[in-house]
Amino acid sequence: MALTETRPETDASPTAQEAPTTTLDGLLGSADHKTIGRLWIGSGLLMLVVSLVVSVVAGFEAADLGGFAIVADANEFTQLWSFGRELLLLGGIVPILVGLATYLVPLQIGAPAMAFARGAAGAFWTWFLATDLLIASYLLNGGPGGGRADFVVLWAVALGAMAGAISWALLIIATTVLGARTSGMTLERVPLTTWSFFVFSLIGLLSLPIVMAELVLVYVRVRHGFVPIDARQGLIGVMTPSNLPPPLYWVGVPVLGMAADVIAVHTGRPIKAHKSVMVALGLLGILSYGSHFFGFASVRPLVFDNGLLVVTIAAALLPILGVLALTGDSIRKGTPKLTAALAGALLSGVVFLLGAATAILGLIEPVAVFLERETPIGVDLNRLLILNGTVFHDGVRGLVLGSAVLAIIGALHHWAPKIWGRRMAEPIGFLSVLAAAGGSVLWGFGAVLAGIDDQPAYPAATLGGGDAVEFFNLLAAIGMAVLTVGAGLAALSAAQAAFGRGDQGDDPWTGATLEWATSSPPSFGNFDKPPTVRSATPLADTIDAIDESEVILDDAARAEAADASAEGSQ
Amino acid sequence: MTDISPYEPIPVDVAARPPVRPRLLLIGTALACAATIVGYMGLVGYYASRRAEVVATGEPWLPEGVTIPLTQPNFMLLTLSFSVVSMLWAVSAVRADDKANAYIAFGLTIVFGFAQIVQTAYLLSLMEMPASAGEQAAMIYALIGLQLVLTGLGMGYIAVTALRTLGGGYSAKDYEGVLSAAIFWIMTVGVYMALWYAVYITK
Repeated sequence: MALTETRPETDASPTAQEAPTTTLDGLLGSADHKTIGRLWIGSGLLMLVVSLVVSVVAGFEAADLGGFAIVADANEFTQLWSFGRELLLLGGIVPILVGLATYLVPLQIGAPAMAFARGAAGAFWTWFLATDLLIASYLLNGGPGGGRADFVVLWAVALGAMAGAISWALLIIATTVLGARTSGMTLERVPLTTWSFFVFSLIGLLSLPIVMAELVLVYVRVRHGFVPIDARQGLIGVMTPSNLPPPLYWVGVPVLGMAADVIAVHTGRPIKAHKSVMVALGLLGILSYGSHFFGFASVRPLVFDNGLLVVTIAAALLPILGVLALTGDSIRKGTPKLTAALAGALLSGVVFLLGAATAILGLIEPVAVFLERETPIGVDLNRLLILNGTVFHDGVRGLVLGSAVLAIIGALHHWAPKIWGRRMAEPIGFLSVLAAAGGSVLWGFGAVLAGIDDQPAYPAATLGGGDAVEFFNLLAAIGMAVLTVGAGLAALSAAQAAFGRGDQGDDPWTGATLEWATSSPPSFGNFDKPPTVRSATPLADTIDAIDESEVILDDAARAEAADASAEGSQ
Repeated sequence: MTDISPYEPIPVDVAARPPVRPRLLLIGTALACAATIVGYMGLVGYYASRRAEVVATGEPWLPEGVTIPLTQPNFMLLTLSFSVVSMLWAVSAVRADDKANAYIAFGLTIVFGFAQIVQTAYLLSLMEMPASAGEQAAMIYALIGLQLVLTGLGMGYIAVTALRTLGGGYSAKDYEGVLSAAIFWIMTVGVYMALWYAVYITK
C-alpha cells in the first residue's frame, strides 16, 4: 500500500480508541474526517458571516451614487467589494460544503475514513492559512484596486492557494466516493447528497485550476510591473466567471442533492426516482462546467453573445426543474413534518430555481441580436432589455448564493445530531431560514432591478444608472444584511449545538441512509464492522420487507421491522 | 427455506479470496492529472490567444532581439520521450519482481528529468530574455516555470516510489504506486509537449 494511502484510523480498533477531538493537540493533529469536517464547517461559517458583513458595507456604499461615504475612493470600494465576493465563495460557502462532504461522505458510503486522511487535514490547514493571507493582503492595501504591488502579489498567491487547497480537498472527496465505498454500495446506490458532492468535486477539480492558472499570470504580470496601479481594478475579473451563471450553478449541485435527501427524510418518503435525480444533478454539473473555457475575464470580459453560453444558461433550468419535480413527489405522497431542515431544503430549491429562471432574462438581448442577424424581422435593437454589462448578474449571484446559504442551514439542522450529537434549536432555525430566504430574494431582485435600470457592473468606477438605482441598491444592501442575520443565527445555533449539552439519540429523524446506522457522533472508524448494503436506502430495507407497497419510516415501523427480523432469525 | 440452491457452495478447503484493495492512489493520481492538464491547458490557451491578437496587428510576438533556438527544446522532447520508456520499463520490472531492472529504470527516469531541467536552464540563458522584457516574456516564464515545477514533482513522486520499492512496499502483487507515478510522469511529459509546441515551435 502506498505511503499516502495509509489511513491511521483503520489501523486502530474502532471501538477501542477514541479520536482526541476535544483538546487542542487533537484538533491540530487529527486526520479523522469528522474532526476535519467540523473544522471546515466552523471556519466556513465564521468566514461566511464575515464575508456577508463586508458585502453589506459595500452594498450600502453602492446605495449612494453621489460619492464615497464609507470608503475613500473607487479603488477602496473595489477592494471591499471583491474581498466580500471572494470570501463569500471560497471562504464561506464552498468550504462549508467541503466540510459537510468531508464529514458525511465516508459515513454515507460506509467507509471508515476518507481516502488520504492526512491529505484531507493538509487541505484544510492550507486553506486556513491561505484565507488568513488573503485577509492580510486586503488589510495591507492589496487585492484588485490595491495600491501596493507586493500585497497585490500576496493576494494572487493567497487566492491561488485557497483555490488549490479546495481543489485538493475535492480530489480527496471524489477519490473517496470512487474508491472507498462499502460492499454493495455501487455508484448508483450512493445517497443523493454523496452523489451531488461527487459531481461538485469533479466540476470543482476541473474548473478551479483554471482560476489558479489565471492567478499565476496575474502574479507574474503584477510582479514585473505590467499592471499599473490604475489598471488593478481590472483584476477583479479573475473571480468573475466563477460568480456568473452558469459556472456559479456549480454550488447549486450540492444544494439540490442535500435538499433531496433532507426532503426524503423529513417527509418520510424516499425519493423513488433516485437514478433520475442523479442524472439531473450530473447534467447540471456538466452544464455549469463548460463556460469556464470562455475566457480569462480579468483581461477579456465574459461575452454573453456566445451561442453555447446562451444555450447552457437556458438548458440549466431543466435539470433544476427535474430535481425539484422528482423530490416534490415525496412531499405530495409523504407526511411532511415541518422542521427547520425541511424549510431550509425546500426554500433553497425554490430560491435556486428563481435565480436560474432570472438569469434567462439576460439572454433576451443576445438571442434577439442573433435572430435579427440571421432572419431580420425588424426588431428595434435599441429598445431591447440590455442586461449584460450591468449589475443584473450580481442579482442572479445573490439568488444562487442565497440558495446555497439556505441549503447549508437546512443541512446543518438535519445533520447536527450526527455531527455534534445534538439538534440545533428549531425556533432559531426557522428564523434563520426565513431571514436567509427573504434576504436572498431582496438582494437578488434589488440588484436585478438596478441592472434593468442600467447600473453598470462593478467595479465602482462605473457606478451610475437610472433614477431609481440608489433605491434598488439600498434594497439589495438591506437584503444582504437580512441574509447576514440569517447566516449569523445559524452559526450561533450551530455553535450552541457543538458546545452545548444534551443528547438527541443516534437517529432523531429515522433516516434511511447509512450515516444513521451508526452512533451520533460516530465513534472512531465510524462503523463497528464494514456494513453491506443492497439499496440506496439501506435503513429502509427492513421496512420494505414488511410492506413493499408503502415505505413508512417511523419509529413504530422500525421497531416492528426489528421484531419481525428477530422472529425470522429464530 | 428450500434445500435447492442455484449456486454451488464454496468448498471449505478453498481459501477465501483476498479483499479487493481500493485503488485510491491510482484514482487520486488520475484526478490530479486531469486537474493539472485543465489548468495548464488554460494557460496555454490564453497564451495562444494573446499571441494571435498581437500577431494579427502585424507586430512581432517575441520582444525585439529575442530568439528561441530549437536544438534544446527538441532534445528535451527526445529526453522526455526516453524517460517515458524508462518509466514504463520500471513498471514492467516491478510487475516482474525484477528489482535490479526496476532500480536502473527509476534512476534513468530521474536522470532524464534532471537533464530536462538543466537543458531548460541552458535554453533560458541562450534566449537572453528577462521576465521583465515584456508581458509575453512574463507569460513564457510562467509556462516554463510551471512545467519545471511539474517535472520536479514528478521526479519526487518517482523517487518516493523507488524508495518504497527498495523497502519492499511495491512488488508484483502490489504495484499501484509505481503505476500511479508512471501516469503522473507521462502527464508531465504531455505538458512539456504542449509547451514545446505552443512556445518553442510557434514562437
